[in-house]
Amino acid sequence: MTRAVPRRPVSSRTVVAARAGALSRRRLRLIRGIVLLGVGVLVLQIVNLQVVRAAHFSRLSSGQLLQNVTVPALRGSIYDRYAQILAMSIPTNMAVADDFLIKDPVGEAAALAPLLGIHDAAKLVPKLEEQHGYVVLSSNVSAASTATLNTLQLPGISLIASSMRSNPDGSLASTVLGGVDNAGLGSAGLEYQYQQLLAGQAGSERVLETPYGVSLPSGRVVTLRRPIAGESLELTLDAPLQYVTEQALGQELLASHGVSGTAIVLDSATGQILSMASLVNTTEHDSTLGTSQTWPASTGVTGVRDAMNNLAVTQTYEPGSVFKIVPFSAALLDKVITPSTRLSVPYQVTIAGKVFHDAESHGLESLSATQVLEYSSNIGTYEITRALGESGLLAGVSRLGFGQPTGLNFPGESQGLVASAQTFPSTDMAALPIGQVDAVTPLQVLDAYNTIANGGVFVTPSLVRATIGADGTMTKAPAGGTRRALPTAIAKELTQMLIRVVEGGTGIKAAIPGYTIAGKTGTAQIPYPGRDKYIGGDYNATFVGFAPAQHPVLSMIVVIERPTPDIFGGDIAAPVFAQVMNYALHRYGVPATPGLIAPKSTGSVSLFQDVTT
Amino acid sequence: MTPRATATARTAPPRVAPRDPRVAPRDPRAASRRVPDLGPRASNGKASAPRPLASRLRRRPRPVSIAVGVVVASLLAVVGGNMQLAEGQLRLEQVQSRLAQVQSAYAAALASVAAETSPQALALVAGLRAQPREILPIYSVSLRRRLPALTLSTAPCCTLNQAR
Repeated sequence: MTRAVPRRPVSSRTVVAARAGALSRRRLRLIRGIVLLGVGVLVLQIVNLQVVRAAHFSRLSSGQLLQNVTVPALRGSIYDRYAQILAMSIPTNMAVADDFLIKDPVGEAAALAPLLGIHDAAKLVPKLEEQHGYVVLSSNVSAASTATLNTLQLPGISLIASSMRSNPDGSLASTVLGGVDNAGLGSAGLEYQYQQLLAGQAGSERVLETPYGVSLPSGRVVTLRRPIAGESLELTLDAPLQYVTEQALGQELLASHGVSGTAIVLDSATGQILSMASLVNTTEHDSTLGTSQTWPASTGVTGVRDAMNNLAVTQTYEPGSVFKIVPFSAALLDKVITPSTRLSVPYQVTIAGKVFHDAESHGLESLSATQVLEYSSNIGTYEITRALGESGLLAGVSRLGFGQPTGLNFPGESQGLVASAQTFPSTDMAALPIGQVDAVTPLQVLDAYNTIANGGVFVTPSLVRATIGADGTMTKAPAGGTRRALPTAIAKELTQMLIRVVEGGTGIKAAIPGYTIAGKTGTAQIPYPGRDKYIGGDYNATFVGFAPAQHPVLSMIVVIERPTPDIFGGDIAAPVFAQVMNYALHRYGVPATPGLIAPKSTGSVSLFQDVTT
Repeated sequence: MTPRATATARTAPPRVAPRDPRVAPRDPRAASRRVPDLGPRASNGKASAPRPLASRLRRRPRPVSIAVGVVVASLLAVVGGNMQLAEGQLRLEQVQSRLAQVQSAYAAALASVAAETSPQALALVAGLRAQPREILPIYSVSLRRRLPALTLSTAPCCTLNQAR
């Protein structure tokens, strides 16, 4: 209930005041209206920006601040057959300068130099003043330096996740392993062959960054694709045996003044390559090979370095007498000869105007087939080939795998070049069986002899035993294929003939006390490139064989290019075979034949005498 | 109007209504003395108590203040949350950086061990030590082969006692 309020008379002043108050209220309302209008406009603009055109502006903003960054996957490692690390990747950081942002190059250079391992800070200043926007200062920043750099927050200096490929064993087996280029891609050898497997898959992240590439902490890191680490490889190589092979080959290369040398040791039964060395003598043949600075690091033998590529599979050569296994195996298979078949062997023969002769002058000799091989008679071999015929010879070439891929599929591997029925001049009947007019790789020669060691079964050589996933799962590599190339009986007959080569023939220096060795020597002339002529005085010395001959476990070949003054495979290559094979047989505990154990020791140790200190 | 009253009207400063509505005058007459009465607002000739303008002005901002307070508090909460998030992200990045450093150091240590156990390094160390004048190879013998019977010698074993 309202109560009546007594009215009092209103004076004129009160009316004026009331009117003024009413005016103030109107002004207040007007101002309020303007403010509300302004706020309304702002609200509308906010709605416009945040709702109506939100997607557009979000896209523009993302384009400026959200960057897709590639996250590299760590490359897989490479191990030897006993898990010794041969190559591995170490996560590291790359220091990059955006020199447009650097205001004080001298000061930053002084701060950076000790962290990047640069002794003279002045050398760093030009890099910080290049005005390129992206200058790599160091591709391998240590963990400690990374922490310091993160703390310093130097303007224009950023760290990019990277990795460094490391070979802890130095240059051991470097021609087999190959290398990785600056972009982290395999450039040669197994690193190239298994690039996809080793590299894994790079990941991708969307991160918030300033247009200058400075990472912003926002919690908006979106993993688009996780990086998948590369798989690792377990090789068939045995690091200690590889080392002994390289040492023995290197020392012989120096002693014989050869240009290059190759040696391969193979597990006879499985075809697994236990060691594979390719060396060059840069000390004496620098002009032939190029400047030594371009060659990979030293093997530990002074003056000898690793070859630029795997000569064992990429370099073809005329093998010489080791190729005689082809006509002999074919002749035994076609029953043209038996090991005891007698042959009349003159010193020389002339075919189509070309003279072929034995290494040493002799009269007309009556030699058994075994003796022809034992003394490596060229004319005796020609006589056998003549009886065998062209087709039988070419079938023998193909049967032992010459002129075909070995199945190793090593990058740059050559399948060689051998004569065919279409291109077979009459002179090839004498030249081809003694290892001329054909081009083969040392691995192909070894495969042929390993076929005999395996009782006539050709085994595909291999370098990879297994792959190891990032989670440690090991997957065995599929076994190499096998095929029967010769009957077991023929292989056994050939083995007996090859034993004679080492016991009393040209390969006597390959003998190892306690073991029976089967093998063959080869001393082949080197042809002029593109000319039907040989270089006077230049030879390739080869010895290839297996041990123990009765139950072969290991096969091995040694090739030394252009040795002087000794040139014969029996003098140059055979001792390397004996040295390495002796070590390998003991290393793998291969039982010796008690009756063959010599009472004397093998003499002084020479393996470790030339190690660089 | 008496002179006294005029003087009073001239000299008395206008009273400012207290902001707090709790202390606002409750007596309508007192209120009418301070605020000019513009006439009754009640319709139909019924007299009702006019609501003072000051009171209305004082009471109106209350819900707005609350809304503003809520908005400001929400904004502060969002800012605080973002700060927490950024701090967490920073910590995470630091931990990730540390993890990367440790992984790098581990890999480097692994490579170092591999380098020190490499055949070349072992041979180098062996070469620095006294080298044997010769090595007598010990041959492996097949276990399937029976060893020959031992032949015992009757010769004296040692010469040391005899020397005494």
